[in-house]
Amino acid sequence: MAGLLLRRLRDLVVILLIVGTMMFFVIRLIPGDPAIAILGPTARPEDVEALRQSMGLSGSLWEQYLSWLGNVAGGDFGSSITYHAPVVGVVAEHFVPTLTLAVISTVVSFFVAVLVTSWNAVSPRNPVARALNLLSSLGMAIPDFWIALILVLVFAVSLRWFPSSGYADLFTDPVAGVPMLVLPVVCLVIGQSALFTLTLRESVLGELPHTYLRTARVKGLSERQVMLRHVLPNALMPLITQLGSNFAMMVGGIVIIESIFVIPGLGSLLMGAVSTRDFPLVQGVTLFVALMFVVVNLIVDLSYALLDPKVRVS
Amino acid sequence: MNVLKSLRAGLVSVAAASALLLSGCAGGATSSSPSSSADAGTPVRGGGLVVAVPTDPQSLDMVANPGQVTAHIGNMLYEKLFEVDKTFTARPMLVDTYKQSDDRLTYTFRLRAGVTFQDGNPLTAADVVASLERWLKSHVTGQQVAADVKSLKATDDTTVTLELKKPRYPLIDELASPGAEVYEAKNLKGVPATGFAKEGAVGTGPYKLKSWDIGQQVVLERYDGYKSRTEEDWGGQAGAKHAYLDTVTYKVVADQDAVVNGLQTGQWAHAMPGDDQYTPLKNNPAVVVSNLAGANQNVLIPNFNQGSKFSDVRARQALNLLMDKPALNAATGGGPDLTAEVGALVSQDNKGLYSTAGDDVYRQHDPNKAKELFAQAGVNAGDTVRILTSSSYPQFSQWAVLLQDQLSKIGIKTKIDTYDFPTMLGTITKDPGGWDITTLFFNAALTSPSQMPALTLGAFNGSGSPELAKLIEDYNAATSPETARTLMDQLQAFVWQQFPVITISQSKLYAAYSPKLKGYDTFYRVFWNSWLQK
Repeated sequence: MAGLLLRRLRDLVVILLIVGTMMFFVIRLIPGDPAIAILGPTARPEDVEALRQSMGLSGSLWEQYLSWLGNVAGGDFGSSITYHAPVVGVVAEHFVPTLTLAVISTVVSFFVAVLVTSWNAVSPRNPVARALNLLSSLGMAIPDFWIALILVLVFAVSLRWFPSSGYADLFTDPVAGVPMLVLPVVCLVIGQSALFTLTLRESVLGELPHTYLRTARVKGLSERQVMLRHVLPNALMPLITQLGSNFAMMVGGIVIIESIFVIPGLGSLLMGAVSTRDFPLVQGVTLFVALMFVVVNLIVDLSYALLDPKVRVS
Repeated sequence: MNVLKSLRAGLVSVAAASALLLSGCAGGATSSSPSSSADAGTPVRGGGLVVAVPTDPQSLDMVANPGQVTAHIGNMLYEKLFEVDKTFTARPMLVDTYKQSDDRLTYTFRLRAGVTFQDGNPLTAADVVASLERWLKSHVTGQQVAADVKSLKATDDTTVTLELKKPRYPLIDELASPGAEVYEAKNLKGVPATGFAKEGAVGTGPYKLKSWDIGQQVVLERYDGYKSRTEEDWGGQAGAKHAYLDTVTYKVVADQDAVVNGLQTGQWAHAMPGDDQYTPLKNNPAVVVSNLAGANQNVLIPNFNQGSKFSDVRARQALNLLMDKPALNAATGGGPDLTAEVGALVSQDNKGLYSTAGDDVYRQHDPNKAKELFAQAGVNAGDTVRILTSSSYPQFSQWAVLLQDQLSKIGIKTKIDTYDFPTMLGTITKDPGGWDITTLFFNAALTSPSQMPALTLGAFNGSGSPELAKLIEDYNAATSPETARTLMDQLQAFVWQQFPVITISQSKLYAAYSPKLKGYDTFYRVFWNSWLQK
């Protein structure tokens, strides 16, 4: 376990260095000067230069890179050009809504997938269970943004059950926060639970022919017990992998959902930072997202060890 | 000068858009405003108003950030020596009285007594001097004024004296323009070019900053120590300001559909949606829709720099003759309610500067003559015109495509490069001769020629000239409104002779808001004197 952690820590440093370096140069090679973006086309060249200096954008590209690298190594990610605040703080503020949305929708989707698949396996002839199974394919086929628009039209504009958009922190203002999260979470859960259900179903079907299940039944276990104690734990591994990569992508920002439901998350932050050429913020967000990917994958690897004795032994 | 952006934009926001959407000296209200104070009933004190804005202000420093959202929120927080009324006429705000010397070189401003900043400190002449010195040094309008300023000093605690090197007719109008707000001197020490932090956002206005959640919302609350003027009928940004609302929350909502949905469901009570939402909202009985004063000037900008064939005035004349402006407006405008087919440099609401000079040139349309002139300028059939445009504003690329169609009819090819807005500006700056035509829009609610982008685009497209500089200088030396008006006519006529920009139309802005919002002066996002009906 300690070896795995050390290897991942080493990988993390390398990945962050590569991602950070790539983003540093890519964002600066795109035409577009943040000083001109702020001051407009009629600004005097000397004012543009003064603002560039004030933003720390003077000097050659290599000088800027080495300076940035030194600062990052010391834990200083710089200040956002547009928000006039440390990058770490801005990213943290925008990470909370994204993380909230990602965690809730992933957890709900996971349980929906487990319930639907278990029911389907235990009662394969139940018409409702079969219908849910079919709906999984439909859920996969419908784009998120379309579902979002329909949900807003029906449940916010027509029925007025939920707000059409907005975000309030769940911990500081749960009364306002919960209703605002319902529609975006439902929207994400529809697609995500469909994907998880199909993944888990495939895995469960692969487990069912195994002879150890016959032994379990011979021991007198009910179909439900067989499913919960033996099939599901063994069938969960592919779902855990799926869940990890999906969660990491969501933490990277769900731009369309954030935009439709006006959620100030990482996705919209990154979009805004790119369009204003807020170099430090673009670098900060991308580094943070890369970090999240590595961390989530590490958690997935560790969960393998917890779920599967064979992995622990190896 | 003030260049207008629209947003962003939601977006968008956008700081790119900040560049265009210059601040809101704009003001004025349509007389038919459905909720004008006259017919809105008795004001009600209390309540919180929620307003949708397309982007985070990103800075509340109006010198460092000329963006529209910054300007609109800033108007609630800060005040200037003078403010514009609803006809864009400068009126005293922080100034009690002022006098001009006989030689028109010395102005003495006496400040109103008892005015305090939102932290309780009294307004002093030193605050005014520090603020105006920064404006003269760092703001694009102030920099033009600075060339004529000899000295600026606080004579005593309540008196400011400004000496000029030569008379400057629009000085008072320029002191009423965005960027000339008065901040506390102590908050301006060591402020970088990127502007002050939110701790510096302290002014003398009727609302003060309560909180600012980056990317989410800015909340203002009533400043109980506000000392109002007494003039109730000036309107715009001038005169009496009554803070009836307890709070005003500017909520960031970039998505246009979300803006409209939130209006319909009561999540916010005021928004300035996009043009394509105008007709559905106008037909929605649950929402009040009103035009705002001022306008945006939609333009094509030809490149005067070497390397572009549009450096020849005949090519620019030909472009104007070729453009079927009514067709362009019909295809991309927001309908007759939102489009004014005029070639003026300022909006029609601006009584002092609006001119019809050059309107005949604006209305010319003769493709055959255009083809001849293009040929004389060396732009022949088969040649390629390079158009740089931006997808950040959908109308920009629509204009480009429609222009491409019109050029193709006379055999001229086009190459359209579409970028996001900062990339478009960056490409133009990086290669001044590498483009022929680009697309922009400007704020047309302005108070002096020094703020007019069409007259000050020299660094951008090479359109500066001694003749233009002389005309602006003559305007600044004017001695009467009549002379100033004549010179404004000449300036506008010059634009339609040399074509630093070719105006397509002016777009009028509009607001959509809840019928419960009363007393709203249809003045952008300014909500003093407004209240929420119970």
